Amino acid sequence: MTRWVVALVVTIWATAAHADEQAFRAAGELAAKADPRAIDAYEAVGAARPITRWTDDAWVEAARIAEQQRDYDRARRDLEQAIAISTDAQFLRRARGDLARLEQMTGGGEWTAVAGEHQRLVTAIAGGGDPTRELEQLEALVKANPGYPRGVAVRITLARAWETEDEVDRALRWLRDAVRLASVRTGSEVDRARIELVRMLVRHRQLDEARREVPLVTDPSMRASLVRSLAAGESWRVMRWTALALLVVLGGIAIALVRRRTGSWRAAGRRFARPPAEVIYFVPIAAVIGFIASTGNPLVAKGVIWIFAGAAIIAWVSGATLEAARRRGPIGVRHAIAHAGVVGVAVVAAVYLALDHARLLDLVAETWRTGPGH
Amino acid sequence: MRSSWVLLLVAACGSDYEPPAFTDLGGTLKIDGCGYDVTTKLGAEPPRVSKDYLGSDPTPRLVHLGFMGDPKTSMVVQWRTVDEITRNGEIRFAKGADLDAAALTEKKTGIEFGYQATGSTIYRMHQAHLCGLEPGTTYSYQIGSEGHFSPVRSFTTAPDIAANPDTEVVFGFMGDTRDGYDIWEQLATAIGQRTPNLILFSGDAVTIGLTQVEWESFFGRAEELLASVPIVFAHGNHEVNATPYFSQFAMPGDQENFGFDYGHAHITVANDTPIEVSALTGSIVDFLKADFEASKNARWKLLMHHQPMWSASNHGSNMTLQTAWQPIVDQYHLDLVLNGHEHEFEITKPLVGQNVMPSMDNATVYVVAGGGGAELYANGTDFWTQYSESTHNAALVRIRRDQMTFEAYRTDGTVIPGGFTKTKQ
Repeated sequence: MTRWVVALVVTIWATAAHADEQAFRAAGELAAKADPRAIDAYEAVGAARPITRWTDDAWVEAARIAEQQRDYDRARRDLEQAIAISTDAQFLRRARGDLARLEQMTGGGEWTAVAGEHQRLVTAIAGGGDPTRELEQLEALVKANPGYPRGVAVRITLARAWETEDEVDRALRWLRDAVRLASVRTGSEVDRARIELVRMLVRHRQLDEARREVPLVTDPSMRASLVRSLAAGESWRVMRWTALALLVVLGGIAIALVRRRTGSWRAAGRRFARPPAEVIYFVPIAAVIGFIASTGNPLVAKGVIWIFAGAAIIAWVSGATLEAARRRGPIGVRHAIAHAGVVGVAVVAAVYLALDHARLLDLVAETWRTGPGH
Repeated sequence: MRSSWVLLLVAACGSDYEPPAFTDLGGTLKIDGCGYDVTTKLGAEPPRVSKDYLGSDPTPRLVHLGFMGDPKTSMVVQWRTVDEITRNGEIRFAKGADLDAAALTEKKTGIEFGYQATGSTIYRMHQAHLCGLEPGTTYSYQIGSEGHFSPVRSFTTAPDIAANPDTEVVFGFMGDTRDGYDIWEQLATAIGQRTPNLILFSGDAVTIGLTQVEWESFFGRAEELLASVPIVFAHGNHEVNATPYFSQFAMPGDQENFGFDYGHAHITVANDTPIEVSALTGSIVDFLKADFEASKNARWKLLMHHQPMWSASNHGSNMTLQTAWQPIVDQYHLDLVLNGHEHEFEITKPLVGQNVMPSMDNATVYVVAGGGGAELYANGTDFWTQYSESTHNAALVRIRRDQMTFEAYRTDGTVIPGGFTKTKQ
């Protein structure tokens, strides 16, 4: 009799396990198609009895889909179900880790809605197109929920996104706010926010504030790394002002020369108003190359467009200066060489400024050091 | 100078062992009970069994795990000491999670070797090779020398899928941390919370592979994770085939091109910046063909290397690799190719050759997750792009017998779009 009962129990269990396996696989097929019914299908396997080796796995898979759907309360409930029935140590460690992570994210459930909206907005911001509306919504969310556990992280996200939109002041305001918030919370987040702030300040050559912030970074190796970045940033800044001063001086000299060669300011103005032949040739070619560049890497495109804009202005000023010189007789070889040399210097200065403006200097420096493939 | 000699003499007091002078010719040591050899490269000493020789501060640091044999039954624990001259090291271990130090009843003597990076400093690597372990089992361990042991930590061996066919394995995946170690620390903590079995790292941990100070940051900031989960590393262009790179990781084969099974997955790792560039279209192609052929019956097939065959970001697609390697990837129907190099996140649609496929069946998805900490690049899109984003990131690959799930995360914990689930009958 006992033998028959055991055989019956084993048969029932084996049948249930087989059915669960089929249902688990069917749920997996739905998940692979991103079908929203997948979560219900997994939960059905989890709820089916008797418990089989698929039961705890099904609850965990359901929890993962719930988290993807930003239904964090459901994810927590599903994980609790998995933890309640599993006996596998590795599985339990993983499920408990996921539950702890969700609780860290949503508190005791009071931040579930905020966390969901946070995920939705960040996805929308990163998804392409103009993110201004979503960024403003995220700002409003952060302001309305000062106690949100991921408040520092979301401020850093906001800062990075505004920087991408070229709203540098707004980006820096959020990072300063992240440092302020982190200072009243835990220790590790303060450094995290401050490091982000220093990096952004260096990127935008706001070095005085960066210099004040670096000593406040407590992590010695990160502090050393930031000191190196700051030193590099200071060199870039000196070079930027040098390049700018050089262009202003050369431009002034060109205007003075044209004025002298044409005899009056009015004539000089007319000379500058007329595009020289080299500009007429150069601009259409530059426009085509600029358009092609704009279809690729946006940073490189920005650099290319700024280089061409600078080159067009230099070609215009150079052409006007040469035209004015030609009115007084043929140009000698020495004059031509000197002119070409000065234009070359101006081009180098303009290219430097364009690369600096497009934040491509680090990339160019790295390519210089390690080769084009790197 | 004199004081360091005095320190050495004091330290060596009580030991008859006189360490040999540093030689940088590399060498080989057979590891008893493991069936494999440890080979060090030019620039490092030959590996030796640890001796009774203590320096001024033998405290272990930068503990991290790897494996050179079958990950079901073996593990390598690696560490350095504060003083860098201690030659003594052993592991104490026992089956079970989070045990007390007193419960670690089994012992094994370690091995050690010195290596040079930039400058004349000699760094000393210690390794303890554990073989004959039980599959899918958690062990507690501590390493060090008498009076100077590390805290007790735990690791888990790879599961035996023959005994446990429905088991799930989870791989953390990331790359390109160089000079962004604060972000690497955040990502490592976030991935650690998800309890992975293994970390797959697609290269460029440091700016230059010879710079030891960056390696210290790489290992130090993720020690909590790397001392509990083994790491498998694909050589990146910034590692520059340097001795410190080869000295600090324990991986199968030649540590450049190798394959291994983990759960229901077969993972192939390749070096796409070898010393001899001709190897990319020669010996590495031969290796890939042989490894893919040997593992053609694996349920899930993954390839990890550094430079992407498909990318719309800064460097673009590596056409040499696309021409030489992708036909083999297509021939053997690899499921997933994992890359870094581009400091962003990028995932392709399912591809075969130059064609986007309507379904994932017999097609390959290429992922770039090179946002481990380095300064970000702008992302791009092209006809093959499923999703791309300029963000720091780390990813998880979850593998069951019939199902693989890929998901990536930003530093703030939000999920990056483009994740997928693929199933097989």
